[in-house]
Amino acid sequence: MNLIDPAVRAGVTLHLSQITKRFGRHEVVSDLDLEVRKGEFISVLGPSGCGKTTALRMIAGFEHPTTGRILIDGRDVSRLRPDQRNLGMVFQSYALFPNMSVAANVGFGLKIAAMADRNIQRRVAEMLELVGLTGLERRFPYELSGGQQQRVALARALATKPAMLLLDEPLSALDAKIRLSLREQIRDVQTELGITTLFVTHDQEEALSMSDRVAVMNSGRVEQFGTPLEIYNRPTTRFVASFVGTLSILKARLLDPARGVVEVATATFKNLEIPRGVARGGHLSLAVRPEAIRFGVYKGDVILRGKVIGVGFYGSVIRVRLIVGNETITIDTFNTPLSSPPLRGEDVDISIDPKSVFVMRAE
Amino acid sequence: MPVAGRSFFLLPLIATAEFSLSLRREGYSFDAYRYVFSDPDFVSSFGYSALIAACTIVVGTVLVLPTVYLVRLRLPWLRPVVEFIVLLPLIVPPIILVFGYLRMFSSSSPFPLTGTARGSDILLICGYVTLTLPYMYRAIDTGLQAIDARTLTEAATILGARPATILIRVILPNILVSIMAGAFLTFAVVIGEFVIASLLTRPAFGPYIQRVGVAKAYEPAALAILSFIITWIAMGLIQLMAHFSPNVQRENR
Amino acid sequence: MSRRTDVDGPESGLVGSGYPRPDKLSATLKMFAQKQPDWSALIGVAPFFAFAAVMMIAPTVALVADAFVNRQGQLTLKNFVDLNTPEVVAAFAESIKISSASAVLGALIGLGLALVVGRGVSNSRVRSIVMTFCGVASNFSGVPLAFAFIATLGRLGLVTTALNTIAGVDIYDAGFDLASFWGLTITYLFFQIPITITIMMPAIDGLRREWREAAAILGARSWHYWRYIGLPVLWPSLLGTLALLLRIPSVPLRRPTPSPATR
Repeated sequence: MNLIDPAVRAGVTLHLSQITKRFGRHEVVSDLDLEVRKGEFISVLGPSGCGKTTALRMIAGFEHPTTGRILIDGRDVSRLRPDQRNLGMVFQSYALFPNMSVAANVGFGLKIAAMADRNIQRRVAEMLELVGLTGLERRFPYELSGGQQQRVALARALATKPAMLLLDEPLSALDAKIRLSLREQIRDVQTELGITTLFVTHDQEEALSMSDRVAVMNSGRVEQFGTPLEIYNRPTTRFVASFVGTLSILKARLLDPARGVVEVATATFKNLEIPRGVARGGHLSLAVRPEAIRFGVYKGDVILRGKVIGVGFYGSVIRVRLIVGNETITIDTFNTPLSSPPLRGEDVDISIDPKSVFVMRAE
Repeated sequence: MPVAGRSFFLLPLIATAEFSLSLRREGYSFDAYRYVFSDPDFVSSFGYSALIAACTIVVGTVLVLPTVYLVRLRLPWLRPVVEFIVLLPLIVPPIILVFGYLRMFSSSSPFPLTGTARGSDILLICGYVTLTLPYMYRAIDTGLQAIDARTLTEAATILGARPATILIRVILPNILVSIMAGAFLTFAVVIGEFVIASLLTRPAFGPYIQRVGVAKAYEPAALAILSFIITWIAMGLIQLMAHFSPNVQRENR
Repeated sequence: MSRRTDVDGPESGLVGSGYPRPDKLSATLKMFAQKQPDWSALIGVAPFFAFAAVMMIAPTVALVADAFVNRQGQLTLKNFVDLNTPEVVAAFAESIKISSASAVLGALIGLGLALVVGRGVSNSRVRSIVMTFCGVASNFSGVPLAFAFIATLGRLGLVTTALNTIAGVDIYDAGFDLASFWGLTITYLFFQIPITITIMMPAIDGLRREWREAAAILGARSWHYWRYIGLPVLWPSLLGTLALLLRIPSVPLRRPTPSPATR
């Protein structure tokens, strides 16, 4: 994946070039290349232990890459200390200084930079207004809720006008409801300030809903880097397909490689794109998103019959699991007043649009 | 640890050990230790102090455990008061405490505890409970914090257990390790204590060491090494208990 | 149960750490104003308070009160005036000098060592040995401690003789005396330092790596971190430790003990 386009170069804030990090013999990050354009909101998404946090810590300067270079605004910072890099960072655990008031926390970076007290006060007030905490200047961290603490942390990170904002799972420690509202608030603030942002998360929903582009990482490598839509609709690797969103995987057999005919249980799909190197009669896996399957019989779709084994109600969406042959398929259907969801134990017909199926090599 | 620190702490021990072994002119021997062990006063005073330490541990636990438990769960507003009381022994020196006892419980007072040996023993135990209160409290409090006493209590209550039953059958077994930690520390303190025991004229180990220290030359060095070893064993046992603790909570870093 | 009760910060050993928590005190006051006390729970804690009142507070108060009363039962300050003899005053002054010197030195050196161990030693085996040793050494006092130092730095102590034979320096000729100010201070340090390490270690473990990192990324150098965050956070525990160390320790070095001199 080579995205380096000289025309965009000028607008690049962060450029990671061939970054590798080893702890002893263990390679945590391998050959990481990443370009983040000015003002972009980029998420690094991956399971725990995939190297995303190590990558972020290298950008911040808490770890040093074993090989490779880190450029921020065209300046090589690979060997600089964190305090020389002019970055802002928000931590999962808030990391507010417990001995300082909200105002002192937000103004800390400015104080270190020897800004005049009056200017610090003005900037602190500005920042607190930005995150909606005006009036809490004199509170201490232990007097704030988790959501408030994280907003103070955000204000503190932004107060010094950093070149870039790093967010290390900032929402993971919060309640579901606050997580949602803070998610929007972070994105609003980011858009308002136009600050280049790198957001590390294991939550695909956060990554997809907030970001301009998402880098999906797995065992130290970037598997795919693209817009949320690309990542979800056109995953390029098996890992991305299964990690992002829900997938039902069906065992299939290839009948005709030339015309893309594949047999699944009792039905056949036609005109599928077949991965190279699979012979006639070979095994394949078909992956389908839950929202790409409909109840009932639709013309042009592939029809399968299955038995309902579970029905889950998620408000606007109803998620139904059914058994087709030996496999479990998950289907999402909208909850409308007119439709009634199928019952457990019921036999139902489902329709799959062949165009929404990903074909992968069998495992 | 830097070398200077290490030698500051090790040299006195080495020197004492060396001295305790040099009772004979012609070379090193364990004679000093042999004399110590064959001294009937050594055995009786150590036995006495060990017994007093055991009583102190029991009384301290009975006093502290229900209090910490109830304060944690049902009387959180009392917590600052209890925390303050528990710090008092660290502020008030033992000597003030014991002179206070001598005055309050003298033979002319309504409770002439100092008049009899048994009464003095009780006073001694009370004094030691007070002295070791901070350690016992901190140990038990930490233990209760680690096991989520509230949830355990609620679960036991739903199953129909009464408060006393919960404390003895549910809470106590779960924090036994913490109590043991407090107990060993208490033991170490009581075994070496001198001021209270000598002012109450009890035949304890601390005053015995003091007496030997004044009268002999090599035996005190042997006693110093022995008391160091005894404390070391007590502390080692705490570490060992902590190691086998079922609910070791570590801060994630 | 709307009041937050289980959200205490990291507990720091014997001396409760923490920052001003006005809500705690006001909660106590509020409770007194509320109507329904939890009687059965109060009965449960009654023995503890009874013990504290009779065995801790009453004797202290009685003794302190005694100090202000003369033989006829009248209030007086004469007891203190009587203490104003040159010998008593000198003894007090010397005592206070030594205990404050050893307390301050013990707290500072102990803090330094605790930081070295707490932040530098990641090997849990080594750490646990150091902590166990500190537990032992902080209980090492009285005659055993006196003997240990007489055997080390006494007139014929191991170090004294070693320095004399190896370096040709007689520290006693140079003015050193174990029963002097510095001799006693050094002796006291033997348990003051371990006490400090024992008490400060939980507080040092409570210093979160993220604080340091957050400070660094905001442009702070290491000394900024210690000046504005590290030391202020450790300060309450350090003050508590100092208060504890200031208690005058009794080590009978001055007593005419038969020492290694008899060897």
